[in-house]
Formats: sequence, C-alpha cells, structure tokens
Amino acid sequence: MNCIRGAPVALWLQSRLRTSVSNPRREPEEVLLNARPRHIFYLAALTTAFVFVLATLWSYWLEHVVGHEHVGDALDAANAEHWRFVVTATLAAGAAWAISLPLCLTYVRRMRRAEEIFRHFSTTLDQTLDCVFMFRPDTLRFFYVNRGATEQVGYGRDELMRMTPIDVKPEFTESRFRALIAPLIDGSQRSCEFETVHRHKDGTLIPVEISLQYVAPEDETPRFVAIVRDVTGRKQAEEELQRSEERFRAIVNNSPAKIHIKDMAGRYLLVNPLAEQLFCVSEAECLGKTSREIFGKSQADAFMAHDQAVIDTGRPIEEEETWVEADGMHTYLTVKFPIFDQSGAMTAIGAIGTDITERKRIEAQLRQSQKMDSLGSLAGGIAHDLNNTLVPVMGLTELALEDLPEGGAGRENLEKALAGCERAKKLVAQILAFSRPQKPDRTTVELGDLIGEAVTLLRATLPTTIDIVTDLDPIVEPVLADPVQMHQVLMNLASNARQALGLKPGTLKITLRQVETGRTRMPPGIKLRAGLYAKLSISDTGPGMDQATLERIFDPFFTTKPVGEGTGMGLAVVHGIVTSHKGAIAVSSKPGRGATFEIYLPVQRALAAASAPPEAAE
Amino acid sequence: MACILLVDDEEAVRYTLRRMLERAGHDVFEATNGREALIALKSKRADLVITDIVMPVKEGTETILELRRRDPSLKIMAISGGGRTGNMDYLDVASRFGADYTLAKPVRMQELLDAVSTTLGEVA
Repeated sequence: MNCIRGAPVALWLQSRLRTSVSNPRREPEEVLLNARPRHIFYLAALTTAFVFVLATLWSYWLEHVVGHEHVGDALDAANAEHWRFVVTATLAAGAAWAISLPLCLTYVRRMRRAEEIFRHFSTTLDQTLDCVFMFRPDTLRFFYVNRGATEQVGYGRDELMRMTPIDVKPEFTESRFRALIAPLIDGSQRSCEFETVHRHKDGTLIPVEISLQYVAPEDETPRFVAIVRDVTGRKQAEEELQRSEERFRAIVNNSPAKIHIKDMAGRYLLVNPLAEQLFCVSEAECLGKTSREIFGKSQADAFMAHDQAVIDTGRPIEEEETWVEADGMHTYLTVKFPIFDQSGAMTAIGAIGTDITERKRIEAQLRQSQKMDSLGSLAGGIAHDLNNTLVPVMGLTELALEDLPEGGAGRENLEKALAGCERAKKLVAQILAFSRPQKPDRTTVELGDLIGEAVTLLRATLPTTIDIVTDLDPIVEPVLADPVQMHQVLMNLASNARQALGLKPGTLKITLRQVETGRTRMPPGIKLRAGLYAKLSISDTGPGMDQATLERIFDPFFTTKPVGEGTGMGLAVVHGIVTSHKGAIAVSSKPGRGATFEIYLPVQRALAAASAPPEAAE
Repeated sequence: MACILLVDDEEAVRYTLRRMLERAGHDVFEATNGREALIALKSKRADLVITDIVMPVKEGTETILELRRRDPSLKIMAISGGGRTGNMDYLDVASRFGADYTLAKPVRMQELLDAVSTTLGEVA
C-alpha cells in the first residue's frame, strides 16, 4: 500500500526526467529545445489529480466489488479503511507534489535559463557569417549546424543531420579526413586550420578556410567544432593579384628597357632580365644589395646620387647614364621615380632605362650634317669674297714682280707673297670643294690601278723615312667613281698620314679588300645599304689620336696642326667625296697606336643592281 | 690685239685684270655690271667680253644670255670667285648659258692671257 500511496507519482516524474536527460539518442540541446517548463508544471498538477481519481476508483472497487465478497459487518470497517486510504493517498500525493514542486520550479528555472542561454547562442551562431558545423568524432555525423552552414552548402538542417563532413568536402575521403582529425583526438594538436572546397547541393564548389577543434568536456560527449569561412572573395582577390603580378612580370621581363626597383636604403628589390644582362649579375645576386656592392664606386655614387635626388624631391627625374658594353659605350636615358604606399609614404625608387645610343648617334649625325650644310654655305660665301680679294693681291704682285729686273731688290719678297697667295688660293679651292659637293664625273674606276698611280706619286713626294706598303686584293670589283676625286681622297689621306708621322720613320699601309655588308663586321657608326663594297684602308704608324680628336676629325676647319700649317679641310673634303659616292668612311685610332681610315665604296655591280628596275626574264 | 670689255663690280679686280690684259697689248674698256656692259657695247664693239657672275643690278649669267641673244658670234669669257646657285656652280651655269670659256678667280696672268687667246681662237 505504501508503495502505492504516493510513491508512483514522484517515481514517475523522476524517472521521466532522468530518462529524458540520460537518453543517449536524444541530445541535451534537443531536450532543451523541446522542453517547456510550463508543461512540467501542468504535468505535476495532472498527476496529483490522476492519483486522486485512481484512489477514488480503488475505494469504489473495494466497496462494491470486494465488499460484496466479505461479510456485512466487515463493510463498515472496509469503508472506513477505504476512506482512510483515499485521504492518505491524496495527502501522500499532495505531500509528494508539495515536496517536488520547489524542486520542479528550480529545475524549470534552470531549464528556462539554459534555454535562454542556448537560444542566445543559437541566435548568435545563426547570425554569424562564418559557418559552424559540429560533428561526432566516431560517426562523423553532424549534430549541429548554424544557419550560415545550411546556407553555404544548400542543405536543410535535417538533411545535414544525416550527413558527414566528407559529403560536403569533395577533396577528402573518409580515411584522409580521419587522418586529418586524428592528431586532434589524440591531443597532439590543439586545432587544425586548412583550406579546401565545399560542394554546394547544386554542385557549385566553394573555396573555404576551415578551423577545426576537438572539444571533449568532462561528462559530455566529445565533438568536433568546425568554423568554416567562405574565402571566394579572398581567393578571387588573390587570383586577381596573381594575374596582376603575372602581367607586371611579363611587362618587366620583356621590356626593351632596363628596369629595377630599390628600397629606400638603396637595396635592389627587383631587377629585370635586361638589367641583369647589363649589370652582368643575376637578379638573385643583385637582390638585397646596394649599387656599391655591385658596381665600381664612382658609377655607384652617380647612381645613388640620382636615387637621392628622387628621395629629396619626391618626383621623377630623368638622367642620362653611360655604360661600357661589349660593343662600346652605351647611353641610357633613365627615368627614376618614387613609389609610394597607400599612406603616401615613399617606399621604393623605380628606374626605367632606355638605350638611346642609336638615337644619340643619329642626333649627332644630324647635327653634324646640319653643321656641314651651314658651314658649306658659309664657306661658299667666304670663298667667293676671298677669291675676289686675292685677284688684285696675287695679280698685282705678279705684275710688280714682272716689272722688277732679275735679281732686283724686293723680288724675293714678292715671290714669297705670290707663294702665299698660291697657298691661299688652294685653301679657298678646298673650301669651295667642300661647300660644293659637285656632281662627280662618274666612271668605272679600278681602285687597284688608281692606288698604284697614287703610290707612285706618293713615293716621289713623301719623305724616305716613310715606308709605303700596299696590300691590294685583285678580286675587288671596279667602283663607279670620279677618278679625280678618288685621287684627291687618297692624296688627302696620305698627306694626313705623312703629317702624323712627321719626320720619324713609319709605315703608310694601303689595303684594298672586297667586303659584303652583313658578312663583315662594320665599324660602329657605319650605316650602308646591303651589298658589296670595296674597302680601302689607309693606316699609319703615327702617334694616333684621342677620342676627342676622333669625334671632330671630319669637321671642316678642324685641325691639330699649328696655326698656318693645316687648313682643316682635307678630311672634311674626303668625307664629302666619299659620302657623295654613296660610301662611308670610318676612322679608328688610339693614342700611341697609329690611325686607320676605312673607306667603303659600293662596287659598280652593287650600284647597278640597286638602281636597275627588275626586268622580266627573257 | 683684241678689244676687250671687262665687266666686274670690284674696282680692284678690274684694275688688276686690265693691267694684265693691257700688258699683253689688248685694248680694254670697263663696265661695273651687266646693264652698263650692254650700254657700253652699243657705242663700242668688243671682240671679247670678260664678265664676272655675281654682280649687282644685272648679274653675269643674265648678261651672258642677253649678249648671246644680241650677237651669237660674240666671244664671252666668264670669270668668278666661286659659289653656287642651287646645286650648280656659277661657272657651270655660265657655260651652259653661252660663255665660251670660264675661269676661276684668282687667276695668274699667264693663265688669263692663254684663256683670252684660246677664246679668241688665236694660236697661242
């Protein structure tokens, strides 16, 4: 009876609660989600009422069913027993209820608080942009996902509860995934960050970054919490950056200009292939070093001074930088410019250098030809006036000389005056020859023969201290030239060599060869149409010339001889004649190493081929 | 001996050439430019005209053309200190315009006299 009185109510409630909490299939979170504290309250009241009804029914059964089977006088006693039981049972139930009510209320309050906390977390997690997945270490099944997670992979919560991380990670197999999480379970690793892709329900792949943690609180089922972040935007930005970097590299690497970037301390940060070639060091060797560690001090100082100018002004500057390369001195027009970061602070200095050697050469040529032209006009005018002035000076001296008797006083003076006039006349003639590149009388000239004649004349006129050597290749084809002018060219060059040699013993060598453009290396500065050329070289073993002299050697009126000895027109005339023959002239010399003039004249066959219109074959 | 008209704008040149020619026995009269020369030839006949090219008022080549038009048989010698018109040499132009002989200044006496003889067709 005692066990019937009251016990079942509390027991039932307790067991029900215990069962709910300890059910391994149902999660505490789920219970919390489903539990309604008010329901428990109602349940307690209902149970009390039910016990009361049950006790009443039982007393009724005792009175009407059991009572009939007993003797009549026992009925009162049973009746009294019955009512006593009803009251006792009801009181017991009430007492049990009264005892359990505060417990119930406490529980309800706890539940309500837990529910509140959970709802708070749940809402927060759902509002979080990152996706939260929780799964069991054994089955790998998800047991919690936030809203972001469902949205990311496109599955509903219920669907996901039947899935595992492998179902949304196409890059992983189960074994691979288990291998990944194993160190987390055994505690050798606290968390694991990795990048992979998630497959959306519609098949779209989403690049994600995952932070995975193993959570194993005491008395609770261990679980994995995965915070998953969609990195599509970042990936796109990274790819865009990569593409931009590739484009930048392609431009820098294929640029015909030398490009380099230095940091504010002058250390190289970037060197393109052309710059590597020029610096004769690889980019790897250059990076992190300053100009001082790569170039000579003076060169490095010049470069660093330019860098400093950029740092000081914060503006781009243009500088001409010169380099000695395998084929000679090169000039670069280098633009140096500051590179700023987002805050506007200067972080580096960039440089782009273009080889302007050819441009400079052409400019110099143009300047030279303009100078020649203007000098030509000037010279023509001067020559005309000088010639007119010379007429009376020369003519009257001659007349005066005629009037004086042989051996008469003053005759010698007049003869000297006349000789001076003759020299002046020749000078003016040379100036005129230069100013008037008259159309030469072109004819077929065998240069070998012409040189032979000239040498005969030279042997008669040059001092015996000068040895004349010729080396003439007989295969050289004839050229179309004015023989008189060619003769003048030879004589002028020979006279130049004689003056260079002075009275010291030396050799004048004349060489004749046939060359073809493209096959033979041409001296720098020589630009000729493709074809066959006769190459006439005249070299002497004289003292040679320095670079400054070489640069001005063909300038009219430029002479290294003492005033009154040279006209400065000889080589200018040679230059004019050679150019008018569609040829070219070059000079090479070094102090103490003699000088060599090389003249290139197109052979007649080449000229004919160039000018003849293409004819139909017959 | 020939009668020669000497045309040059420079007095010193005329003086010098005149002395040279006279020494060889030629009869010389002068003009300072082409127009004066044409006027002078109206009153006096010349066997030979020696003319400069670059002169004021009427320059040499034009004078040669005019002289040649008036008297195709007149002997003309051009003499110049050089210079050019376009790509052509003055003396070159002069000979194309009808000068029988051209001579560059400055000139030696013998050279001048030989040229005069040649132009006049005399045996030197």
